[in-house]
Amino acid sequence: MSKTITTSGSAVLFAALLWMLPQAALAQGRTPQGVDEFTVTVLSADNRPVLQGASEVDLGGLSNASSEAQRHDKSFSITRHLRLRVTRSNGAAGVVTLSAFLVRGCHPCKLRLDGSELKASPTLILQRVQLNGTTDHRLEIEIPASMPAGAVDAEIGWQVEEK
Amino acid sequence: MKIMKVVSLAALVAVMMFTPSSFAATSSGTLTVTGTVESSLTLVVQSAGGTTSGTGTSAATSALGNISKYGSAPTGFTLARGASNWTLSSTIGIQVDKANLTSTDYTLTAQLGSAPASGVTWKLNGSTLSDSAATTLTSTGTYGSTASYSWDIVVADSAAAAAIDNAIDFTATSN
Repeated sequence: MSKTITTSGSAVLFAALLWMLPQAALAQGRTPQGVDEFTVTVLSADNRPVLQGASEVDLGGLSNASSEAQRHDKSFSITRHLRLRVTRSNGAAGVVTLSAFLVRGCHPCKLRLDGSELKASPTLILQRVQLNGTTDHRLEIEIPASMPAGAVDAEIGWQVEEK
Repeated sequence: MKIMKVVSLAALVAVMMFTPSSFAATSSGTLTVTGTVESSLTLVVQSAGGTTSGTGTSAATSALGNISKYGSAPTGFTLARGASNWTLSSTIGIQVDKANLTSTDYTLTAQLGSAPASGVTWKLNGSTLSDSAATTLTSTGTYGSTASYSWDIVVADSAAAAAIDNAIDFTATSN
């Protein structure tokens, strides 16, 4: 009887270890094989990398009175178009999902990618992204009229998930 | 021993059921978004006498058509005949909004875009406008609400029959 209980405990421990394996890989930003790491690159209009792996979009002056501003009741928004490329370190093809999150927000302004508001937790942007391909996106910043004038400095992080 | 196998199988099934079918990896790339929020005012002509176009924007137009002392008043105007002149009266509604600005009120001025036709006087809020200097309409304007200003065009009987076309340039300045 006691042997049965002990064996059962081992099975549960075995299961727990199997469960923890992918979680550990997740925390390290790798798949279980430990070889696949993804890079999301912002491209210029002609598909050249703006800056591999650490891009910056300078929105310039953000004014409610500018011609590009979309005016809302108590805020205005400015939209820019981005092109992204997701690659794997070994260059292999594949299909992934792409999510984005705020590494550093710009409260009280809001950032949206393809209409989805970005927050500290990942927001799904694209369900299927072909690795090494390019995708077009709309980056929108919404600024409340009550927000004081000054610098905006936000940072968007990417989460890539392979099926 | 038989019981033990059942438990192990159950554990394996549980592992298969709960192991994620996909694995996430936080990529090495980030996107920094920078910019500078600028203070701004917007001025909108909400209403005006005459046959208007562009109301609700900052560049409205009002057409009065053919006007005369003994004719009918244009749409949105009243006509008052004096001994030696006649006056068309209406109102202009101006709204000023602020964004990213701590100002509590604004100053609104108006100035004619060109010299008025001889014998024609343009007035806002009772003050005669000129093309050489701005006239202050208010120095305590309230943001976000439409302020109505009386608008008079006084035409002397001696004025030549001709077009009276002009522009009124409004300027709002935050206090």
